[in-house]
Amino acid sequence: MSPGRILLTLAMASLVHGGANAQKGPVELQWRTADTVRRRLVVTPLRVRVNWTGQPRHLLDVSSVGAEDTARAALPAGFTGWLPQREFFSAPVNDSGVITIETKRAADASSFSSSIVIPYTAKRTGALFDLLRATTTQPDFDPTALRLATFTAEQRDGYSGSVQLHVVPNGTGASALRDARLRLRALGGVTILSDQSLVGLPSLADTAPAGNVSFAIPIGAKGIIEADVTLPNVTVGSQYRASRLYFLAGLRRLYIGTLGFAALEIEQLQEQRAARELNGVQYDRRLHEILGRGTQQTIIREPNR
Amino acid sequence: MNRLSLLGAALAITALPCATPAQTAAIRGRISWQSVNGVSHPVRNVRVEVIDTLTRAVVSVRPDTTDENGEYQILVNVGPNPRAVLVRAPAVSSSAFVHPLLCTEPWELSLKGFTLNPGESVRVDLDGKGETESNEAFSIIDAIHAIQPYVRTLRGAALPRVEVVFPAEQTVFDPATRVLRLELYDPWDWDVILHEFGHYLSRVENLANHPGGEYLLTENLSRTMSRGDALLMAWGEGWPTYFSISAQLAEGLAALDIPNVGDSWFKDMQDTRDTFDLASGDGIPSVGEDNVVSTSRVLFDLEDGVADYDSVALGAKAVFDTLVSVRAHTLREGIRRFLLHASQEDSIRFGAILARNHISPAIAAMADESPIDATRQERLPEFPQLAATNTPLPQPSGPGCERRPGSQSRRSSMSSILTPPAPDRIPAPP
Repeated sequence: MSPGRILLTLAMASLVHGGANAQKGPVELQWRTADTVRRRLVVTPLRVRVNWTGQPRHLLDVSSVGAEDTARAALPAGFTGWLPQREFFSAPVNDSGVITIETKRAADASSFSSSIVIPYTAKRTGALFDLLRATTTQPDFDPTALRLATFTAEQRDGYSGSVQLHVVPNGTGASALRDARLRLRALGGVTILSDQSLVGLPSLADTAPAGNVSFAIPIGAKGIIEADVTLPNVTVGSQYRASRLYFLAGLRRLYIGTLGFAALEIEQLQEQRAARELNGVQYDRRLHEILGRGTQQTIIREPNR
Repeated sequence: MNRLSLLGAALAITALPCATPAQTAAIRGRISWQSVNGVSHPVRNVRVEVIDTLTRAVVSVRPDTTDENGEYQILVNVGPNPRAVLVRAPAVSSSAFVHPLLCTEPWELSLKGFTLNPGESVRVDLDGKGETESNEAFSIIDAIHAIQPYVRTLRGAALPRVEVVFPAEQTVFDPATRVLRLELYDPWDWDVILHEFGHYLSRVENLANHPGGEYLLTENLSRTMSRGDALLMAWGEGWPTYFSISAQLAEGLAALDIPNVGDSWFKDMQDTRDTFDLASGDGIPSVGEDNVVSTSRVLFDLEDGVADYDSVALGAKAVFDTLVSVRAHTLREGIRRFLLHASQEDSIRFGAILARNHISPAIAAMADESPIDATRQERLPEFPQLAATNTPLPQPSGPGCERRPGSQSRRSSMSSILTPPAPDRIPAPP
């Protein structure tokens, strides 16, 4: 498939068959469409250091940038030093924007209390982060407690674009949405380049707020953008709803969906088979590798009795 | 061949009756899956097969099915030369078949091939790990397998194997195709899985006339749909929730050491984090007959043998048989049947259950303005048909009405449940 703009329609609207029934939450998170372009990216490995100096010791979460592993290590509250995970920041060459780091006071994932917004510029040689112009919504937090160390960057082909995220209330009044908190987080090889239309949250008071989330991902990488909404004003029942969008950057195209990486890999495999890039046995072998992934096997040869 | 070799061959032939025949090899082992708390569990009642890694053909002489400990034993046709094989346990049992959305091949536990020599015996253990779909599929399989004895107790036979699509866009049971769909977030939530399986059972037993669509646990469904549809929906969703919890308690699944499994709480922990207790009434409150939570709690209270406020413990089988006998599609249809042959005392006890769940009124004030005796209020809810016929109420000290230990706190909360007269009351029994 030639490089160019691709408009993907994500089949993520409610799938309710005739007579089928499903429980719903106070809000639904729906990813609608993705507008994606294949382009040259600069991929910059980086690590984050935090040095608390007399201010409340919070936990940090590097929300915008995907970590090496999609499962991040948990940190103790007040952790000082280099965060253990190595992050990967991907952006189109010459792009500029902001990345977000969030802090939280407690171990509860829903308690994120502040965002630190750091401007970046993606040069050909790597990303530059302007900590001096970093801003925070938390008065008692000094962004200069942060340090970002970048490592040798490389240019790779990849995809950048945006997805629409809709927050659809289900019989939840506007008052319940007013203090709602939406959190976006990148995991794995995907980078959130801009989520300004959703973070800050004035739009959540709308009946069906939506926003664009810009992203970049290099070919060969997998990643997740995770969104969750907490509704502190909902007094009865669930105050929480989460949704994940999975990315698999293939050579032919970018695969996006909510059903997990395996579903994207099967989709990619079926396209390869249809394009006769795989024969039947190869397809079968690769399919079963996906279907059985994660299995541990122990083999012991036993003496004949 | 020298004499020593001949002697060796003779000894080998002598030993053959206990050894594997020359053209075959034996593979045995254990298959396990891992719950979210890291505990391993046997994969039960799942077929295991051996595949030739080159041709992908099944080479098991006879595939085996794992036993209750996850153990299997297979004889493999190897031929005269060593053969590269792999052991595979597809997510297929007599109860369920779990596959991804885009293909009908089931998830499986398998890894890589190894060389199997003729006459050899090999032990191969396969262990599912962590949050991978292959491991999660076996959580789903085991959840459904674990409650099959309960299903057999209720209806005399297990249900035919159910097809499960995992992960799917939405957690839902499709009654038209009888396919159960589960979101990526739900494989650890046995309460949710068995709720959806409950839809399957209610479909088979004609225990629901579900109008379809989505619902909130917290709402009176009449606010968003017609009264008739709301009652059908509350029942259509409330019964499977009751079934899920009842089945887990009956089978003692708490012993499996899987988080949130085998207790009286309904929990959806992964995506919505909804929780409510069918036994105590904690969590999401009951708000009326057109509410899913109320319906499930009423059924639980009718069944449970817990020494609780209502003194009603009909048992799961009696509750099920009664509901099936009238093809109940709403709570009122079921309750009407229970009341049909109930003693006056039992009718009052049923009334207490309904009052507690905001379905029938509770006593708000005494006619003579004397203080409300919380004990009386709980035991003797205002039950319209009894009041209408001026039937004398049993004495508080009568059999079955003793105060139960630990009921004080519940009474305290009961005293705040002062329901206004409901527009649609349960009709009087014929």
